[in-house]
Amino acid sequence: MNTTALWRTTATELKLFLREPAGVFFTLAFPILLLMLNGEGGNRPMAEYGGEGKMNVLVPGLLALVMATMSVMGLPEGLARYREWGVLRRLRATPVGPGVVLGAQVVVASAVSVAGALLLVGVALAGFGLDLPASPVAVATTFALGTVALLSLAFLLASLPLPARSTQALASIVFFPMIFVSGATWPRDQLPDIARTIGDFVPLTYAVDGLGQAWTAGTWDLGALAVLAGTAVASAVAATRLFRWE
Amino acid sequence: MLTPDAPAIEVADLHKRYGAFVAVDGVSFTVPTGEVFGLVGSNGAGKTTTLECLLGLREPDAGTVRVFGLDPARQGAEVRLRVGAQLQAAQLPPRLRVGEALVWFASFYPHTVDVDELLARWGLTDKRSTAFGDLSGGQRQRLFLALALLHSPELVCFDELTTGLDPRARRDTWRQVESLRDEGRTVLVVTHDMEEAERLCDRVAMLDGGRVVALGRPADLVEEAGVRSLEDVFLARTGPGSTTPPASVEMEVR
Repeated sequence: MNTTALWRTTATELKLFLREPAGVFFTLAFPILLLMLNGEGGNRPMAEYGGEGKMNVLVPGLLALVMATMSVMGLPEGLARYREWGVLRRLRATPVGPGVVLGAQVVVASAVSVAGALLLVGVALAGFGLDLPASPVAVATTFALGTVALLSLAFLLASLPLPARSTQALASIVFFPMIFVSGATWPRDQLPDIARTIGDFVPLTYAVDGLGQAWTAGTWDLGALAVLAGTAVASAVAATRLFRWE
Repeated sequence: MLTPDAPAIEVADLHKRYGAFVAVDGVSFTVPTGEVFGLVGSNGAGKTTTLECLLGLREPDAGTVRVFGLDPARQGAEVRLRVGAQLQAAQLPPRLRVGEALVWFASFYPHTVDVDELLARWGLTDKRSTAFGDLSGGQRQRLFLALALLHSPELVCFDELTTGLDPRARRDTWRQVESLRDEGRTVLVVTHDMEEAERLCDRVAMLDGGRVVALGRPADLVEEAGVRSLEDVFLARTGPGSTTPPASVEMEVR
């Protein structure tokens, strides 16, 4: 792919993202708002978290929330609208083709996710006594793999032949239960049994588990990483088969 | 800039079907460089499909398509470097500004004309910071014309150029197309507007049901048929009922 075109498209997509106040709020501010609402007592050890600090448990979940918001809530609707508006069609008539938009949206989603994650961790470290991760490398790797898995899932949602409004509705139907049953917004072991059982089938759960283990114990949750990698590959393969530019 | 040895467009016995619907059924025509050529006919006659084959957006089922001697199905990127297109049913993100759209599209091409000059030429200088969603229909169309001409293409294709424009904007757009001819560019006008075709085109191919039913200079076609306008020729040469695709495939055709 033409790098000038990819760079310029990325800059354009980033500008368009920043012009959408709802997207900026939900990706960057909403996780911090949730942190603050649950921030009372800071990082004090909690018996119900097995004596682990409250922030050390909440923050890895909120990191998963950040990656889910930017991918599942942002990308499917964006791509479906581009398809509906004929933006992708117009790009097909250029030498670079519409793939450049897909590439740019992946770059923007990843960059904004990283920015949102750093902002969240910064606030939690500075204001709520969060401990530094036991293994930053394991946290970063799990975050990266989780982002790839969720972007693939988002691409799969975008590839279903639906009008943009339906794609948006479908993304919400996937997103909202997912962030609760996965433990992204609230620790899973405090959820009802049924929610925990459903959570076992949600890829985001494995991002939460993997991030949590990497943050507190500093070890690699290989099972979780395998599920995320499998989700990434399976979704990408299915999406590539289903996706239509027009 | 011109390639004297190859015509701008060569289409020979082109066939394209979508499931059971035959969109293009043996279309042939050649457009020498420097000509303004019209593909005319009603909706569903096969015009847009033919254009899409020329741009390499669809692969023909059978027949040959060449643009400057290149095969769009195999050398699509090379073809699209030399061809500018304004497409039907294509919009831009509503929050994208005019100037940003031009800078963005300019990154797709190795060489482009000066963006300020282009804005001035299409009367968009004072709209540079206006969002696409806030432009009028005529301004949007002028932006798409500017985008089609960013890389100074040798062949420019317009699909339903003036649909939805008021009479004044329509006349302005026609004058601008004529200025492209004066610059020596080849222009392909795809339209169901016979007045537009008669006014702009050196020659036209009239399509009906995926076939060419008339080919030649508009004035000659009018004279041969002994009628007053190209619209009369169209009404005489094309039948009702034969041109509308079944609803189930209409989406795909567009």
